[in-house]
Amino acid sequence: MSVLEGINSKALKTGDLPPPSPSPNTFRIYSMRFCPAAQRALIYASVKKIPSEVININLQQKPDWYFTKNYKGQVPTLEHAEGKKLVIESAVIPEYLDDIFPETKILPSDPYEKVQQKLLLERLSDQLTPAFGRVFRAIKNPEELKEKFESILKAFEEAESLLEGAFYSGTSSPGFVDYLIYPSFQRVYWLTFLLEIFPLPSDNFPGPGYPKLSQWFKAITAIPEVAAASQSTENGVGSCKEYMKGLPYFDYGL
Amino acid sequence: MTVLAGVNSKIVKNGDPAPAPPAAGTIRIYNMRFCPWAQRALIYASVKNIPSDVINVHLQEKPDWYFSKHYKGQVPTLEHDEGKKHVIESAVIPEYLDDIYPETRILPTDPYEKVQQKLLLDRISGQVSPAFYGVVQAVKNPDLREEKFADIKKAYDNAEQLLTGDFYSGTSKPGFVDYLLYPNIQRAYWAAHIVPDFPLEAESFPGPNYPRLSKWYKALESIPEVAAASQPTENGVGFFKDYLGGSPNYDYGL
Repeated sequence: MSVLEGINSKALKTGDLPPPSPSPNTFRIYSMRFCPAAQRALIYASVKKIPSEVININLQQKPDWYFTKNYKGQVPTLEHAEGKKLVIESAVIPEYLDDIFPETKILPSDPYEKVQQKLLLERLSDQLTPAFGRVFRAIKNPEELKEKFESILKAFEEAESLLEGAFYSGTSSPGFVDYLIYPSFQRVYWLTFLLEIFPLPSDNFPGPGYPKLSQWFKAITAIPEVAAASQSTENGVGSCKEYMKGLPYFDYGL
Repeated sequence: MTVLAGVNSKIVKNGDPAPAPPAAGTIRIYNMRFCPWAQRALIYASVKNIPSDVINVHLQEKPDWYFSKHYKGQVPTLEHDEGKKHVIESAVIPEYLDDIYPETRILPTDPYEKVQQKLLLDRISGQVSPAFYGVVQAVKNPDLREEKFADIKKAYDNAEQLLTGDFYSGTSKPGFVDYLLYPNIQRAYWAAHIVPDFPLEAESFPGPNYPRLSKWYKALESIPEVAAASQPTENGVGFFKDYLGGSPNYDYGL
């Protein structure tokens, strides 16, 4: 049973009333169902078994009150202590959750091992996120696509070489990097269904060119707590199609 | 007496031999004397009284061996444990130093206060730094002046507004945000000596439009441990002139 309540609630938009403050001991995560950054917070809360209330935000018609939660109007935002505490940034919220819920700590306690996990996430993310963004933005311009594919392939080669064991945690269980980088890989996986000319296969994604990564992706996808915090392939692919048509997609599949 | 040895050592460049590993009990910081990001690590080590060996790296003719310290070849890099441990990224190194030298901890211990300091640094730095580099662009391309000068005014208006007391730490003493933000603000101070019609004033910098920031800057500048980790105005201004002319002299003033 998932600890995430409301993960598929309708997105709030301009004109919608602000929600009441979260009740004591309730954690709220402002999200958007298809946002990979917000998904990081959801996955971490899910794996740490923190009972959380999810409120989805329409990122094209943001409610005015939402800027009092996150001055950039972005997701995710973590809200707790009856609304008195707000934390933003997708790589910062998980570490904060480990600090306030140390009994389910995911990051290593050793300072050096901990900092290396944070730097590894940043390194992987710095390549994957912009590479995906370039491809996604070029989807409407097929002539530009092939050159954008090169940066995806380069990012995946790097990701494969940086994966030395079964997980990026360097242990036999997934860790901080695995949970937080997964959404970025999932987004590329969704692309494989959208573009016939995409250089990576859907079957056993990302394919025989990336043996360790393929095993890794399969393992993370199969974790129930990760699945509970993630959108299904059909919803993900469907939402991308709506986006490509310029149609609203935040509530796709609901 | 400063704990930083070699802060004004000559730059090492391509062809220079790799240095011996740092001695036990000493940390090493790879630096460039005028780099605001590397200066963060120097200031933090100085304020925490950590015996440190500084090696300056030529950023345009980097030694090949330097990429084994930092995969991007950037500064700062922290090296310690007799060369077995490397940490990079200017906002990550200070937190790591607090973790391994907790007796001189600067960041708050409370998880929420700690995370808010990190987010505040991101927020202010995320504005003042690009605004500064925008001014650099405007010096080379006068068509951009109006836009870039407006940007830096806006960034400093915001920095003034976010300074609700004497320091960004929210206490009566400087903290994490103050020490790490100072280098970026110092760079604008140097620019104020050179750039005509610059919206920030060199005298009582940044000037009467920023009363709290002006007081803040004067206070930070006066801290001996900060001064020991920083270049004096005459060196900074001299370097910046050459830099704007396209010929940075990394050993300026030596």
